[in-house]
Amino acid sequence: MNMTNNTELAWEDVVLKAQGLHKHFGPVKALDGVSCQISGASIFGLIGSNGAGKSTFLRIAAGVYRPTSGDMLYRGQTIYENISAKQQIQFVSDDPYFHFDNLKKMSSLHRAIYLDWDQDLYQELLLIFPLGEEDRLDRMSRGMRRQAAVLLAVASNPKLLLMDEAFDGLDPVMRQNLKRVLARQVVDRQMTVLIASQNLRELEDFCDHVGLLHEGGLLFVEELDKLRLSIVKVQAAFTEPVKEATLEETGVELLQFKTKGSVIEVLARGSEEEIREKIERLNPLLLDILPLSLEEVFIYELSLKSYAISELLR
Amino acid sequence: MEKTTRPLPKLGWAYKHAMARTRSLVSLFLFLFLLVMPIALLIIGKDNYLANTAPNPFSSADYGPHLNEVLLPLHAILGLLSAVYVYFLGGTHFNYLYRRNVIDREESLPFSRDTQFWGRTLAHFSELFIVFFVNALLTGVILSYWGFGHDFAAYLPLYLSLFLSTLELTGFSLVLFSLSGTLFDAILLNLAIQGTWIVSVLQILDLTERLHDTPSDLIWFLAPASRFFSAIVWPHSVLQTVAMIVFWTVSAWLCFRKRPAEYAAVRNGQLSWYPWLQPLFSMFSGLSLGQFIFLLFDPNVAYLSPLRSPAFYIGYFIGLVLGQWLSSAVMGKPIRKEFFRKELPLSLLGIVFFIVIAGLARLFIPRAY
Repeated sequence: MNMTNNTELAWEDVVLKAQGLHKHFGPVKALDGVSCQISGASIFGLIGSNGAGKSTFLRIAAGVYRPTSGDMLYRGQTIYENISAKQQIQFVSDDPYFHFDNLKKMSSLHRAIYLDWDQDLYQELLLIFPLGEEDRLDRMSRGMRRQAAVLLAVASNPKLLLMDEAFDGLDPVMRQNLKRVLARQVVDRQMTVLIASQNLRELEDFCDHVGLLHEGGLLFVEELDKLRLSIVKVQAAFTEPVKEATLEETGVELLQFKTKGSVIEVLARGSEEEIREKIERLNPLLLDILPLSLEEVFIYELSLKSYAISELLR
Repeated sequence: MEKTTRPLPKLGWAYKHAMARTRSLVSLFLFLFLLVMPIALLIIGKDNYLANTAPNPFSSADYGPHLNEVLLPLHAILGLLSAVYVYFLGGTHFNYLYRRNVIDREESLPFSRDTQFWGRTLAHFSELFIVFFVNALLTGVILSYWGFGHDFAAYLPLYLSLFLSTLELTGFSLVLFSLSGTLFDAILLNLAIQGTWIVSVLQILDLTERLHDTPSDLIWFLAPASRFFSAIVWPHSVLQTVAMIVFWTVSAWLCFRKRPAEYAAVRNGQLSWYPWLQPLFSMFSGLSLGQFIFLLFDPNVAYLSPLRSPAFYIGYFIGLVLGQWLSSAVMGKPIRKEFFRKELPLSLLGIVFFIVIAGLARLFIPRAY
C-alpha cells in the first residue's frame, strides 16, 4: 500500500496514476501539472479548499473530463473513453444523480450495467444504511441520497471508488457506518478509495494517505502514519515558566511553542523517545505526549511551503 | 457473492434504455398525431369530407396532386406538431448534456460516446417512425374504409416527405444539441439559425436577381423545418433529403464525440465556437436593416437596386453591429468594454458571409429576370 507524488511504485501496484495532468477551462487552470500515483487497497484523502481542483481531478479519474494535457491512467490504461476501465471505477459526485426514482430500479440498472454487481453485498448494505428500496429518491434528504449513491457504488464492487465530499450531509452515526463499510471493502476486496474533501478533520481517522491540492497543484502527498510519526506534540508543566530558547538549547527542533504560565505545549520534529528525553533534562513536573491531529501535521508541512491554510482548517 | 459472466452492455442496451425513458412522451405525441389526422377525420365524418373535397378538389389546381381541402389544413397542423415533437424528443434524449450532476453520472458509466449517441439517436428516429407509421396506418384505414383510398395514396408521398424532413430536422437539431451548453440555448439557436438563414438567403437571392418562382435549394440548407411546409408547394428531392439526413446526423455524431463534458450549463455565448456563428446573425440583421433604411429613406426606391443605394449600406453596417451585439447578449456572451475592439471586427465577417452567398448564387443560379 503506497501513495506518492515523487517515488515510483512497481507498475503492477499502481491503481491510479496522474502524469503531468493539466486541465484548463478557458483561462482558468483547474489542474496545473499534477503528478501522483495511488496504489491498491488503500484510502486516499484529497484535501483542498474550494476551487483547488479536487472535483476536476476526480472527474478526470472517472473519465468524465478529458485532460487538457498529461495523462490519468487506471492500471496503466487511459480512462477517458475506456469502457473496461470504467467498469471498475465508481464515481459518487457531490450531487448524486439517479436515473430512476427508487433504489430498486436503480439497483436493477447497476446490475445490468456493472458486471461485478454483488447482490448479496447490496442486501447487506441495505441493513446498514436504513433506506427503503421503494422510497422515492427525489424526496430523500441530501444525506440519504448520498447514502443511496454510496450503497449503489459499493455494491457494484468497483476496484476504484471515487467520492467527492463523501460525508456531506451525513449524521455522525452514518459517517461512522460509511467509514466502516469503506474500510471493510478495502480490506476484504482490495478496493482503492479516493475521497476528496474540504475538511481535514473528516479524513484524519480514516485515510492511509493524504494529498493536498492547492490552486490546481499538488503540494504534497504523504502516508499519514509517517507524517504523524515524524512530529510529536508534548505538554509539560514546570515549577517555573520555561522560555522557547531554553527548550531549543536542549536540542528539541521546535515547530510550534505555546506557553501558559509554567505549562508549555509544543510541536516538535523527531521521534517520541528522543523528544521526551530532551525535555526531561529540564526536570518537568509533568510530561505528556498528546495525540496529534492531522490539522497540526498540515500546519507544519504547509508552513514549510509558506502556504496559507486557514481555509482548510475551518 | 453473486458474480455474473456476461457481455458488456452495448448499443442495444442503450437503445432500449433510451426508448424506455421517453415512452410516455411518445404516447402523448402519438395521441396528438392521431388527434390531428385520423381522429380529426372521424370528427369531420365521411359526408363532410366528401362535401369539402368532391365538388371542387383543388388538388390539381394549386397544390399538386397530393392534397385536398380537408387534408391540407390537417397536414399543415401535422407539420407544426412534427417540429414540436422533434424538439421535445431531442430535448428529452439529450438533456443530460446540460446538467452537471447528470453528465458526471452518464459520462462515468461504462459506455462509449458512440454508444451514448447512437443509442439515443436511433431511439429518436424509431420513435418518430412509430408515430408516423401508426398515424399513416390509421388515416389510410379510415380513408380506404370510406372509399377514398386514392386520396390517401396521392397524399402518401407528401406524408413520406414530411417524415423524412423530421429526420433531417432531427439530424440538424442533434448538431446543435451536441454543441450547446444549455437546452434553452440549443433550441433558441436552432430556431434562430433557421429563421435568419431563410430570410437572409431570400434577401440575397432577391438582391442578386436570382429569386425564381421555384426557389433554390440553398434556402432550405440551414432551415430544415421549412421543408415541412415548403414541400406542399415545391416537392423536394427524396435523394437530397436523405443525403441531408446523413450529412447532419454524421456531423452531429462527430460534434458529440468531441464535445467536452464541461460544456454543461455553460451559455453558448461563452463557448469557443460561437463567435464563428455570429456573422450569420450580423448578416441577417445588416440585410434587414439595410433594406429597411433603403425603403424608408431612398427617394429612388422604385428604380434602384438596394445594392446601388448608400442608404442600404448605411443600414447594413448599423445592422451588422446591432446583430453582433444582440447575438452576444441573447446567448450570454459577456459584453465588456472591449466590445468595439473585439466584436466589431468579428461583425464584419457578416459581410464576408454575404459576399460568399451572393457569389455562390451568381455562380450557380441563373438570373431570374
